[in-house]
Amino acid sequence: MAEVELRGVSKYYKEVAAVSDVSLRIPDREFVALLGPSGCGKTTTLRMLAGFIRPDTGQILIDGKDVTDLPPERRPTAMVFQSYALWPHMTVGENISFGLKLRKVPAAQIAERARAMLDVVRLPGVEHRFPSQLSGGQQQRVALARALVLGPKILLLDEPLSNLDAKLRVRMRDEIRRIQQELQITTVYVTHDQEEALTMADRIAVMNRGVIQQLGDANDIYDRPATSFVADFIGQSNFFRGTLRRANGVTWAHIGDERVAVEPVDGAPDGAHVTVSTRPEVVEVVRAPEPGAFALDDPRLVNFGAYQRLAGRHPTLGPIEARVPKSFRLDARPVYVKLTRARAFAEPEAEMRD
Amino acid sequence: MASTTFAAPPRPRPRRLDRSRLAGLALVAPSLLYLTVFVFIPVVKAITTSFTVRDRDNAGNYSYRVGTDNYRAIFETETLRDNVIFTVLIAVISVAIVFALAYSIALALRFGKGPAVRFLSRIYVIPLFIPSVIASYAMITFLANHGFVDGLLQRVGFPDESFPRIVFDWKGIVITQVWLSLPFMTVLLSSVLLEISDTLVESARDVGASSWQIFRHIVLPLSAPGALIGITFMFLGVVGGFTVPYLLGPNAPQMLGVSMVYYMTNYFEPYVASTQAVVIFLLSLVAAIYYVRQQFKREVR
Ligand SMILES: Nc1ncnc2c1ncn2[C@@H]1O[C@H](COP(=O)(O)OP(=O)(O)OP(=O)(O)O)[C@@H](O)[C@H]1O
Ligand SMILES: [Mg+2]
Repeated sequence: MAEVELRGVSKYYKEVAAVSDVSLRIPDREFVALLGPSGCGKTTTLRMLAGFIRPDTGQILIDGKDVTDLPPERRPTAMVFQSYALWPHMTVGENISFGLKLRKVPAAQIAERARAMLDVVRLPGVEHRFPSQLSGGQQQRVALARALVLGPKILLLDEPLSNLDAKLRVRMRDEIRRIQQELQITTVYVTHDQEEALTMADRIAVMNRGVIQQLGDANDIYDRPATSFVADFIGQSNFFRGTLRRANGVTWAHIGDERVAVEPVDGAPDGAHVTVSTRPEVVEVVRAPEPGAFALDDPRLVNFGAYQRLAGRHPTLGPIEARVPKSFRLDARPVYVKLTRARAFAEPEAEMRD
Repeated sequence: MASTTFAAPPRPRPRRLDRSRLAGLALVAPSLLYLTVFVFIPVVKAITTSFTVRDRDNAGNYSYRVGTDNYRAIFETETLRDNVIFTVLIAVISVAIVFALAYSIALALRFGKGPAVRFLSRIYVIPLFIPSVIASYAMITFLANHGFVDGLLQRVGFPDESFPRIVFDWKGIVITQVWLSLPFMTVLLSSVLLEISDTLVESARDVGASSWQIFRHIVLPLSAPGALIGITFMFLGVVGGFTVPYLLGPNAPQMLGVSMVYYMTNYFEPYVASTQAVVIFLLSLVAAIYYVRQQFKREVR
């Protein structure tokens, strides 16, 4: 049973807020990913959880106990570093055992637990090797074993896979998730790779400029992005600028002299400036004019192997992209697109995606 | 599927290789020449001289023969033997003090924070830019009996003659060597400690290590190879040093470098002088072998 909570946590460097008033509650056994672009405050948040950075405001609680003032060596957290951070002068066995030795665990038990942990990370029999004699993926497994052998309540990982090649990254992704499920350990995972976050985490906290913009599962943040930043950062989106108008129970975004139906927007009055987004994969392509379909000038096809992307321009709306099957062909007939499931975000200009 | 036929591997091109080998030789030739003229030949000459014994008959004529008498003299004559022991002791004491001080400063620079550390990081290199002759003279005026410090102490009430003998004594050599070598050792140890990345220290804290345990189990072992190299080089410098012991050392015992010069120029005993030179060389060799072994161990890792 281990639950973590951040309550209004901020960290400033000079005047700049690296993390700004972040609140987040992670229930027992949950796997949460902190996802966001470089410099958004992911590492700072994680290091505050680990105890390496003291927040300027707010509290950190583990199982309801305030640990804000505890140093890392006295917190029940374990961290896995991007660079593995294995001690090069110690063997794999010594690396894993170090924390146990400090805790004066009997030698026989230490060896047993180290071996068991190497089994968990599926790297048996390397106790006597030095870290430099292992591959990057193996080193990261050892780092994981070293963090887990102490039986921490919370596992913290800071971009643990970013030094590995693409294939291995996918494999280790599944491994980490498997181990997390096996040990049922509450986990916070920092990444800037949306695929990692979407595939591994129970819930994802999308961060930008020190603020959590949206917290939700993969479907929430992909299908129902809360801000234009999330719509832009996760997957791909078409964006338009317009004004909000409601008529006959339908919410419209007026863009120039065109209008696009959008999902209902709460808390924004008619006439509000909005950013409209829609995903290329929900843009419908038709070959004959119909109501609500926009003619696409200069249509081009880009092949992505598994599918194609149709890109073109509308004189008023601007560039539009749609995902189309590989069988799709361009010919003399004109191309029209229907913008379905569009979402409108009423945000102050400064907040808009950058 | 993968039934591609591979082309025969290209033949080696010996001419190219030969030329690059020749170029390599041309590149090392100057340093080889330098080593031969300034190191190898003098060493061989010193060794031959050290095994040359000069006998004088009753009529005052000299005769020469090969023998180990000079070595016996060095290790059996009390003054000469004391010089060897003195040299090693001074080197060991100076190195130990410098190492302890430099390591502490380097630790403070690496892990400390605040204005004091920033100030220290600016000033500690200053002695690096002061030539040893100047430093030695400064030490003499500063620490001599009736010198600057003595005068200051007497003014605040310490009796005359209570100031210990530092200049023209082993303490003078040690203090000046420490002053001169401290910055270099600190620079070296700082760079060694800088090589230990923060995450190695943080991961140790994360598994529960206290500051002392981090020092004992992470920082110290990781800095040991680099530190030993620094120790080796400083040992070499002190054992073969001349300026500082010549200007600040006692008349007896003398460090080998000083004694050697006296035997050469004042006592006209080039044979004893050469033998002392060979002893210095051997002491250095021990340090050098140690150094090479450390390097080798590092590469094996
Ligand atoms: N020690 C520091 N001093 C000053 N500014 C800092 C410091 N550490 C972080 N910052 C700033 O705080 C902000 C957040 O940094 P953080 O390392 O948390 O970002 P991140 O999301 O982990 O980015 P990345 O994906 O590049 O690792 C950045 O703008 C960074 O420049
Ligand atoms: Mg980071």
